[in-house]
Amino acid sequence: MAASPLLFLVGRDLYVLHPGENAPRRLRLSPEGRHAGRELLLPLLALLRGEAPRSGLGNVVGPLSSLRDGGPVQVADPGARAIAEALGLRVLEARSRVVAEARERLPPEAWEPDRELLLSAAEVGLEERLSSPEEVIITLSREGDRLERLLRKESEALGALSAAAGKQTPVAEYAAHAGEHVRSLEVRYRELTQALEEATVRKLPNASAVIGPRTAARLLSLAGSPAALLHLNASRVQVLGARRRKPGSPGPRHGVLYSAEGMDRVPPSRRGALARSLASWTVVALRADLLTEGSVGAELAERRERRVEALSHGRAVSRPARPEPEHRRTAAEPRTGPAPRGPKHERRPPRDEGGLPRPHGRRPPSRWERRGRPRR
Amino acid sequence: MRPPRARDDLRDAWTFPFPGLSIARSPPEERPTFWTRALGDPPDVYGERLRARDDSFWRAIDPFRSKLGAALCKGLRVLPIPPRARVLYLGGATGTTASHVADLVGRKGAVYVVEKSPRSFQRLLGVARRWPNLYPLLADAREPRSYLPWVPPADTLYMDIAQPEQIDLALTHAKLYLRPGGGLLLALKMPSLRRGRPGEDLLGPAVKELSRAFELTRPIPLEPFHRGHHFLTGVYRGRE
Repeated sequence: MAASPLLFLVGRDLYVLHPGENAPRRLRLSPEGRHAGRELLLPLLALLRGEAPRSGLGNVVGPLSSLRDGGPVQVADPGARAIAEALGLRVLEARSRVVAEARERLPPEAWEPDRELLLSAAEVGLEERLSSPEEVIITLSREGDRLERLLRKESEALGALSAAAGKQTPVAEYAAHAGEHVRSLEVRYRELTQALEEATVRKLPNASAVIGPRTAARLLSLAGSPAALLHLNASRVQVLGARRRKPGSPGPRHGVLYSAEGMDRVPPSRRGALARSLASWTVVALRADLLTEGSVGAELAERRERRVEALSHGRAVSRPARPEPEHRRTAAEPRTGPAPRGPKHERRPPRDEGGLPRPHGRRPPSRWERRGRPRR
Repeated sequence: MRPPRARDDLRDAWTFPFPGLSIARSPPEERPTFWTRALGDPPDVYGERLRARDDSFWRAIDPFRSKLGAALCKGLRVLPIPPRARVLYLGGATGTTASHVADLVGRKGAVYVVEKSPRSFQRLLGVARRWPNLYPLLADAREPRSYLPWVPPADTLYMDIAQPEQIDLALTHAKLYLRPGGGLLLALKMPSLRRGRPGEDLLGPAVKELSRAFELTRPIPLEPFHRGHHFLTGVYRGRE
């Protein structure tokens, strides 16, 4: 292993440690001044992510061209790998021990941190991450929810204030100003909602069609990322965003799906049922949005409408009822087919209990069981 | 615990009382409060208590926010964060504990903070602009080689990442970054390791695995400050 040279990056310098040599040699990637501008940072960041640089390789090609004819080179980090691959070298991943020993051989001044560079790299990286469509949706969705809560509070306060205000009092004057404030908040809220809906429809068209863009955005912001969203199953989607409940209480029926399209047209007692259906369709729609780029939204929205229609008229089913099976064996009739397996008490022939079939084939509770376990 | 091999002068700096850490007990029967001298300006990061003394601000470590603070309250006696140390800090979140660590290493030390979530990183970046020795890195600690170009060989590794592979990552990072004799501080979140049966011991196997490369002190449970967490400290034996 020790026979091949090792490439690694330190800041924006490329180092090569040739076998048999004591100290790594430095190859400067960008010869410009200490404080890199943004246009210099972007290729550097790409390099750190492991993408091959488009420029700046000129001063590396010369010193590394001697490696071309030899065997493979070892690389320590994704950036060095990208450079080596761009130069057409054969690449091996270096072992941790080799990397650590090579790095310890550098003189201490090689490690003097370029704080400006690092901070601006962090800034650019952050900007890049936060400007992706899903992060935009998450940010807008959270801000929208915050603004909604704020608006509710402010309008309540305004209502109380105008009730307390007489006509020509200082309170009335203040109430007028507060009213302006609330109206400007409303305008901001409308703008934000519109931007959010546009962004969500673009990123998640199918899910937006099924549950509405606002709710789809909430699901994404709760899951945290599209990948996390894809990991959710329907039962998880159904209760996503529900509050934690005390142990032993009945579970939640819906989380943020409460704000989904069609929920308000269904009586409260049937909203759990609608949430259940919506959740399963949402999962299908999300997979279409994020994996196959198919379009199933219109069809699922139609099914949602049928389901809402059925539930709002008190009928629980939206599909035509299954035909009844022609004949069901009752407990009194003898079984046909293979002998029943199971616990001993179920294998015994059924006792005659006055002709009443047992509801689920279960043994009736004994007197001891009916009374409950005796207390000590 | 065996003292670090490479720099024996650190031994005094690692053991109680720690330089750079002030302890106040008032009233005496209450639990002690730990204070670090703030390097940043303005000095507060997360709404912690502040006190002015000797021309500088001292910040109280909130044990409910910081696992390091909780470990100190529960009797941590070995703290491998001496002045002038280079610390690799994984899982910096918004910089609550990272800023205290940066206070401890002082102006001549450096703390390299790795954080994955862009939203937490936004606030961390704000703290890093005020702390001259705090270096933020937007990266995933599950890919230890992605920040190799930025982080020099380190004296101390601080880990607070709630991941199932916490232990493996500690070993990998130590191999890549930690010098032999360097210190480890690890906030181990048991529920993240895996879903154990009730009453199952998850700590024992984790400690055993870590002992391959580290000489560990006794784990400190962080109840009642943080549920399901243990705090481990140790010395790196070196690459085998």
